[in-house]
Amino acid sequence: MIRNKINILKNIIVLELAFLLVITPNLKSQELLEGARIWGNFELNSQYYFSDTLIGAPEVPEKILMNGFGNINLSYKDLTIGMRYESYQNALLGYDRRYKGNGIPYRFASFTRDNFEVTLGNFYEQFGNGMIFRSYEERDLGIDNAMDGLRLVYRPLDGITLRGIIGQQRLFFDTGPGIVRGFDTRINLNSVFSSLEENKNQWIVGGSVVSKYQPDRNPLYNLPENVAAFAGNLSFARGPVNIGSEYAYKINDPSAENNFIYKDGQALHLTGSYAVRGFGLLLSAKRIDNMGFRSDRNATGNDLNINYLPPTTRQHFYSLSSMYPYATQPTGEMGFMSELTFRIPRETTIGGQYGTNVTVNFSRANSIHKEKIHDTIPVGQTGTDGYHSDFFRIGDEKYFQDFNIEINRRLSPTLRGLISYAYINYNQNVIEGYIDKEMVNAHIVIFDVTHRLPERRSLRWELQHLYTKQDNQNWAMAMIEYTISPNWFFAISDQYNYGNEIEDLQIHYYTLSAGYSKGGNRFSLSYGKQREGVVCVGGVCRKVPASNGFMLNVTSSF
Amino acid sequence: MYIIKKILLVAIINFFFFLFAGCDKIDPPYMTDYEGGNGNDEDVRKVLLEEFTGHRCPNCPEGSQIAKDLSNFYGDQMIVMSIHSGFFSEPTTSPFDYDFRTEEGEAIHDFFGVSSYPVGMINRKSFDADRLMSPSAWGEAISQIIDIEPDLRIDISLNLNSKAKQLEVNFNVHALKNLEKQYYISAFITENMIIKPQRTNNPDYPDGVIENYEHNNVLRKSVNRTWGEQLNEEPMFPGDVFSKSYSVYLDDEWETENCNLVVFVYDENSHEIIQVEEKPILN
Repeated sequence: MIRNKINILKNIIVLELAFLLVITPNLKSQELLEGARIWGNFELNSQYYFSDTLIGAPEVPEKILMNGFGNINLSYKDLTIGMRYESYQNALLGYDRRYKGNGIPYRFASFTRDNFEVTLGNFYEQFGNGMIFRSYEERDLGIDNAMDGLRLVYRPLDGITLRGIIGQQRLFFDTGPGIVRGFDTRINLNSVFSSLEENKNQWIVGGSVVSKYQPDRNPLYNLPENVAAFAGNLSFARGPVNIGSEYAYKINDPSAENNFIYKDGQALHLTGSYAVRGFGLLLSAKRIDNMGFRSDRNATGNDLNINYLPPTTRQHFYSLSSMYPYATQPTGEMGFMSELTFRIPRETTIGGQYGTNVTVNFSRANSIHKEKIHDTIPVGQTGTDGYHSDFFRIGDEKYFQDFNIEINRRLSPTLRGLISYAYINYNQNVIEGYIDKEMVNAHIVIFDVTHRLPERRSLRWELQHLYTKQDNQNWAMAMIEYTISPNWFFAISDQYNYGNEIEDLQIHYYTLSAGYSKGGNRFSLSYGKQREGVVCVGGVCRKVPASNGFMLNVTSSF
Repeated sequence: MYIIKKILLVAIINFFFFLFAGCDKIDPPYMTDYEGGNGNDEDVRKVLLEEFTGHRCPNCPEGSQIAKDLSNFYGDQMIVMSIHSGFFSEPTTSPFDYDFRTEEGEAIHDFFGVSSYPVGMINRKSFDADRLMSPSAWGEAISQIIDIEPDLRIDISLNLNSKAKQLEVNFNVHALKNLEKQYYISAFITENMIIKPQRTNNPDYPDGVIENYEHNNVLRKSVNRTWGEQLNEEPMFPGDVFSKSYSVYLDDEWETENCNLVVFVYDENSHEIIQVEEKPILN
């Protein structure tokens, strides 16, 4: 019954949008409805694939694959409606093959009246840090767990926000089997209490509850059909100091992710920062214990996550320093990160004529302590309470460690340079799910230099080197990019696995690319080889297979 | 006073949400009571689990254990066919130099787009938009269809020429309902108790290898090619019987007493299997 109503709603919204699209080409939005605004964007990524057995690029029967989407939104007074059309013909390699065909998986209508906001259809939302609820889209990872249902937001007082959500999560062109419902309260104490208005100490307190329902049809186990998670957070700010904390708890939630154990889950995330001009210090720590939370207990991979566990590691963006990225381990992890940023003043011996920015970062993630619940029952045994864990005890196994330093300096009015060093320890067995791989210990050095040339042109080049005795061993990388602002860029790069102990696999992964931008449109075309690897955003990762071919990217916005 | 009233309202709303948050605390025992298979000869719907596995796949023994648990639970109503295919099945150096793969298994693997292991299909049917399911989902999927009245009954008769290792197969498919679609019949040989090494992530095996692992229900060969043969051209009505006969040679390497014949009928368009049957080659 509810599904029928939702389907009717879907159709109404799609028809409304179709109507608007049909009548708008000959009319400006202002002519259609005074004060109305229409905006959107479009993106197409397509690749022509060549088989390459040496790098492991598979034969692609379709030869050409394409991911494309377009958003169209309209707002008029307090009403906003929108939709996203997606097309996968078929999905690019590395994306889940269940992204297939065409459809409108995202459409919504929302209106606001007297501090009360209603959203019907799809929406993204996050409670606190997301440790018990975050619906979001990360296109690079192929993640979209948008909710499909209702969202209500009410602000009864300045400084108080109440949010309620209910619905199902997107699963490719369908929705997952579970129903997710939640409520969140956020109170800015300084706004609510007039006596604190002028106080320099700023306090925000919040609390959330999220529960999921999924019927139990498992013949072997008695499973909880309703699973709830609770979270509370407190943040404090005073001048340059910010402190944040969030604790989450989840009751028994046997699932494919935790090997169907009945243990409860907990997570604690603490952050602190101090930032003044020319100096910044960031500290963060977390403990995660059995906090995978999905709207389908059988889901694996990146499917149907209800929550998001924030990372405490630095995200690298250069190709060799991002070769070994860390993926958050929802089943158990203790981690911390510290980052110090400072500026050496200009016109000093060390700082040079223009000053120098330095960032030093260190992060580490370990297992949590786990102990058998009984002598005869292995840790994590299916159909048991799993294990005992001492909250403050760090496990023995190192998952990841990263020490890196980055020095960024302007050398002349037309020359800027960056030098970076990173030492990364990467536990392949835990992060990538192997059982017989060594810990990778990698040293990475990067140079990045940009020359500003006359007539709005620039030349940027990178040299990178990765040294390791493990995995595929040593890599070197060089890249040169020429930009004619604001329209053109041309680049050539090569990643060379010269240290591979198998001589045939000492391969050059070269890429040639060019792009053109004008107004809201951008086109780029490239040809090259892509090495097999892992791409991560915010501690969430997907494997990228090797490929060889032409790539076309088109984006447009209006 | 106004602010206090509002805060009180917020507190009351929160209290009710926290109080009524859906929450089922399960107390031990967590396992259900096993009842075993139906154990009678009535016509029942049988279910096929096609398990995609590989001897170098460390998580696959856990999947096979779930298949075994379910098979024990459902008895003869559940049939398993383990398809060694894909990356983890590729033979490497010793001890994983044996090649379990079959041409038919690779074709099925590729057709259904298998990319993670272990994974399985229950009657090749989509459940909650997924045809390929992780082992934890198999039981739930089976429970949704196993009590549905059967559409067909498949009778198997076998005649083995032991010397020539030639197996004569005859299927009689009895329609039990009106069936208007086009169906195909597909048959395969499987083998149990193949003792070969298997990768594992079980901490009891520190080197990650179970040397004498018992591989069961291993797909060996098709009887009538990968996708079988068309069963009917016209709609079927209760009482209709369709017969098909085939002949297949068994490989010398296979232990005939451990081999079974698995036959199923599936919808040509949806690929959904509507009935499956299994019989040992040596009765």
